[in-house]
Amino acid sequence: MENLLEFIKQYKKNRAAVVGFIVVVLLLLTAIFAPIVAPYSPNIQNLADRLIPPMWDAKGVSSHILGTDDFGRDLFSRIIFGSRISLMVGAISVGVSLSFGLIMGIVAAYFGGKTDLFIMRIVDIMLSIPAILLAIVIVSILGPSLFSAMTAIGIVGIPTYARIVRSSVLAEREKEYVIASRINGSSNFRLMFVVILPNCASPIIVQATMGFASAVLEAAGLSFLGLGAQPPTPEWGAMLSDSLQFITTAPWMIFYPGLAIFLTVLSFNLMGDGLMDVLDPKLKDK
Amino acid sequence: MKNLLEVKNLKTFFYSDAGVNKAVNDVSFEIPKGKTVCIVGESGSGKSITSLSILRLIDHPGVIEGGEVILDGKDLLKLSDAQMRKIRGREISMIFQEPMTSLNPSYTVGYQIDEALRLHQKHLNKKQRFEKVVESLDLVGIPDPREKYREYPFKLSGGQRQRVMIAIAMACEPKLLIADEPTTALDVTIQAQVLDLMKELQDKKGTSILFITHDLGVVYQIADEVVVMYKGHIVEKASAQELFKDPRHPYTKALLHSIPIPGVTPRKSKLDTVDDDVDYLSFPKEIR
Amino acid sequence: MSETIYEIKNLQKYYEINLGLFKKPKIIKALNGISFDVKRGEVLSLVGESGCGKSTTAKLILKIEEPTGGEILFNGEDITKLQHHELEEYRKKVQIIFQDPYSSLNPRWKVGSIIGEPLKLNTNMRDIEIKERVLYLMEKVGMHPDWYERYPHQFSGGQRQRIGIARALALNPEIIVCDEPVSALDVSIQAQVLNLLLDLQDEFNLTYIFISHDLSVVEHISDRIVVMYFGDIVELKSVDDLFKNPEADYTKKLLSAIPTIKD
Repeated sequence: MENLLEFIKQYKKNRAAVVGFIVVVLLLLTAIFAPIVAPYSPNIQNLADRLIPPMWDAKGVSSHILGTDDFGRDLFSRIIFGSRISLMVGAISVGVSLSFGLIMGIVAAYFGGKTDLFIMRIVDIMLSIPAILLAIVIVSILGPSLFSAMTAIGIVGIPTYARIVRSSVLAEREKEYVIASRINGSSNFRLMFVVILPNCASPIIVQATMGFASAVLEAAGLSFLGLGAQPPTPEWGAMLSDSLQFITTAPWMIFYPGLAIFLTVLSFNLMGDGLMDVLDPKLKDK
Repeated sequence: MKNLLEVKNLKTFFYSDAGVNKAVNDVSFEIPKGKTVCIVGESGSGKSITSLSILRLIDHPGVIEGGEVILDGKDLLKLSDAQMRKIRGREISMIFQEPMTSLNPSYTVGYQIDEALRLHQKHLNKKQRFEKVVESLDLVGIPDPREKYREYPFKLSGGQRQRVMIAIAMACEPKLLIADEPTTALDVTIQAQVLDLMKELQDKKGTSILFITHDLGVVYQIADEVVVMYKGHIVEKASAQELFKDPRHPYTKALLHSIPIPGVTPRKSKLDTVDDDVDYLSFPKEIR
Repeated sequence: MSETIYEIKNLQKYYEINLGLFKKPKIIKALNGISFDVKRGEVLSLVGESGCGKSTTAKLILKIEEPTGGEILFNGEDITKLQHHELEEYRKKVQIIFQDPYSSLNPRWKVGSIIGEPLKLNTNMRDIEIKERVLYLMEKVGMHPDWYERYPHQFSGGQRQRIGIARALALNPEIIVCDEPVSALDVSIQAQVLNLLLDLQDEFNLTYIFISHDLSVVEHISDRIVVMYFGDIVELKSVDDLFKNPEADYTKKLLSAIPTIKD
């Protein structure tokens, strides 16, 4: 696929994007191989070893690289396992937003008229609800859990995809290749998903990448507020909130999960930036 | 000096990872005062880049690598940016192919012509400028110029917009008007009107015109001198009369033969085309 | 097989523009009730300037849009009344070549898929048979078989037009509507494509409805010409007749405006 080789060549020009990509891959590998990479199970408590600082500190030990928390659990292992959760949250939230948003956007743009008006009004209503508020509502219905957090984030993200897909489809809909397929007898479904949609992929891919990052951040925020992951789940945001009381005595408990969030969000954003630079100019055919 | 502009050995190259594109590769020609010179060529010939190079409107990744562009004894390629800005719009102006996008949709037609005056004829006051704008609109044949002053471009037809473009270009009475395919996007009857207008303005104001086109029919109508370009080189240069009566270069001949001429080319016959396999650059250049 | 393929009677197409809640919609009369016929095996050209209605006529013939009034008879049958199966059959007989080689091919599909789509949607041919036919068509329009796997953006305007022509031939149509097929091409490429169209017409017994604003091109390839102006037919004559004895004022104006070289 010469397309792919050309794509890689262009992408490589952006050093930051390449770094972002590498970190994302590392993250993925870490999540997949968590049980092998992590020295301990994330939930094993060892009350004798509570609040040990990271190993380069005077009071640290080599058996706990980043130290332990207030229950004696190895921080490094918890952060590693936390990557699984963050990636899952990102994937599922984006998955939900994308699937619903895409269908809404395509149907609105393709059929136009009243269908379009109706769907876009729903989108407008959804946009006016703040994520936190929605999360609180969902949590009160479903109870606080990671699942509730993902649902809330997923729903809140739908309008963005609906709008992006809609404007892409509107632009492509009038082009002659679409008319050609229509004349040849293509059904509406086929026109939407086989003919038009592949040509709208670029902005969706970019948004999904960036959206992944914000989903991770939002999930951390919700968990921090107690509305998302519940203890003892090693979700990074929850770890932050649990550790607030130790901010002066055991700052490593806050710093390292925070760093993990920061690096994850940053690398996805850098990757998204890189994708945007490469995919956009290609859209300008000729 | 019978020549207004002399282009000598102009080279403009574009750099990319794929290599160097020698868009304009050692091009030389002259534009006499008060005459029309047509540059004819197909896509990739370098004709548009030549005109942009004259006005130094070449941006990264393009670079003007060499040559001279002499206007009234000055080499334009050696001027500073500030000096060049004084030339553009006042001594040399340009009109483009797409009247839809070359006019700013957010400003009235009158404002845009006025802008040209404000930049280059600072000694005029507001009322004087207004009268001049009305005069230019009238000159290009726009009816009710005083009312049209306040119109926005979207209200005008393609032909009218092109006339406005010409009005903007002519507002400061430039010595040279560069027209890059100005009639290609217009209907045939409108095209005829715009070409007539340009000839009329040339007669009235003595403006030289550098007209870029791919349409040999248009060249026949308005050119005094013709320059034929192919892949960055000039392959033939002659007066319009000489070129049509006695085309010499194989590329010119191939080009002429690929156009069906009503009443001349036998109907439904195979048109001779430019051959992809022939290296037209291997033939000697025909400069008359 | 009758001599007349199309009989167009009093064809009307009006568009309504909604000016808002409180204003009456504006009516644009794209076609004012035009009538003409198309004979089997000929090249009939529709010429005129923007707004004359030639593209609208094409859309109605291809059933991209429906007429506001009038009839379009194809081999005697009114196409506005065709249902499902008959509609499918009609579609196979009438195809189109578009003006813009850049937007008429799906940028995300390979050349093979683009040309093969009509076959996939309208026949029961197996994939292998479709591929065979596509390669055959590609050869006919002068394309290298290797190009089957490539994407449109890898080709020039003229080459893309060939892809469009191959696609139009896929279902073995009787008629091809050519909507300004060479207007967006360089002069030399234009000549190549025109030559190709003429060759294909001979080989496959095609009838062309050729839409263009370029009278020189039209003079070269047509048998008869329909001159249109703002939704009306101003003149309909054989080529020779039109150029030698134009009657309507507009036709005369159009002919005199052509920038041609009079050697």
